[in-house]
Amino acid sequence: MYRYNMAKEFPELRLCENGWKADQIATDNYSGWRGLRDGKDKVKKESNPKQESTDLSNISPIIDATAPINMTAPINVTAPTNVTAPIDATAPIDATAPIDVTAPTDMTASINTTAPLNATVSPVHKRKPSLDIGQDTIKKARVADTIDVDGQENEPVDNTGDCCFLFGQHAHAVHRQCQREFYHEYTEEFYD
Amino acid sequence: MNTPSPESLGWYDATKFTADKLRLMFWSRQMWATHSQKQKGVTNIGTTTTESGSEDEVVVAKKGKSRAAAGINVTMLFVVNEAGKPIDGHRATDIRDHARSIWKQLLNNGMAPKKWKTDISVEINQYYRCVHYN
Repeated sequence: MYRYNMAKEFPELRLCENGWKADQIATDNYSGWRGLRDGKDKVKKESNPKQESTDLSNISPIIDATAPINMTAPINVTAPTNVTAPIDATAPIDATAPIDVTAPTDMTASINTTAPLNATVSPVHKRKPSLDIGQDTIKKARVADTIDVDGQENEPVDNTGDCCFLFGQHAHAVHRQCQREFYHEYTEEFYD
Repeated sequence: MNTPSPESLGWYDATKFTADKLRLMFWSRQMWATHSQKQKGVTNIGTTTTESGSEDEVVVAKKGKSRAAAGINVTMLFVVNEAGKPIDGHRATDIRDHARSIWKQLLNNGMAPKKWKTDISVEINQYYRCVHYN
């Protein structure tokens, strides 16, 4: 019927066998026309979207906290924190103590890392890292440990790993220790 | 009621034409395929025939709408008159527009296929018979 309609309007299209010319016109032009139509329909639908309710269940959390974190202590965001004094890692680290995230961090303080770390922070660092940490990173961490143990202080800390997320850039001193412990645990558990 | 037969439209019978004429008109798809194969690599100087019968010779230079506006037939050179001259671009545009109007009608009735196939007219014919003649 398409052929019939075309031939009725345009006598030139009758000058062929089985109306192949009308068919050829359709073959050459139909897909383009159809594509444009479909595109227009899509634009129409997008310009008049139905109001959808916000479904928060599909939003995945940035940090996957599988280990329990004690967040019962209030976080003080007003009082300045003095971190210029040497930090002694022999003292237990209290994760429940208030953390000030506004004061600038002084990284000039020396850190004593020869003493064993307090196990109170280990629940946080036993978590599997959310970042992809390869063998090279682990090797780098071991070298840094060696330098540190030999007495060279204030080596730059690699900020990769979970610790960055957990403590932020205002707790580098704590972070460094934690990162060290983290890599040790991670290496033993997954690579040694 | 039956669909009007092609004969009632005045469809041409191939026996009325000589072999040369049939070849000039690209009577069969094979004739056109042979012709277009020969034309590959040849620079086109578009010769078109207007409805009044006068011939225009235009050098094909630009693409798309500018050629269509100039009345140059680019993609429908197989549609010719009895003398074997291709229709001009305006006529080609009219044919294309008419075809689109048919497709639009099919689309509105939910009969437009995703892709056009040669044998699609069987299905469309059935649809037309149902809607228009029953």
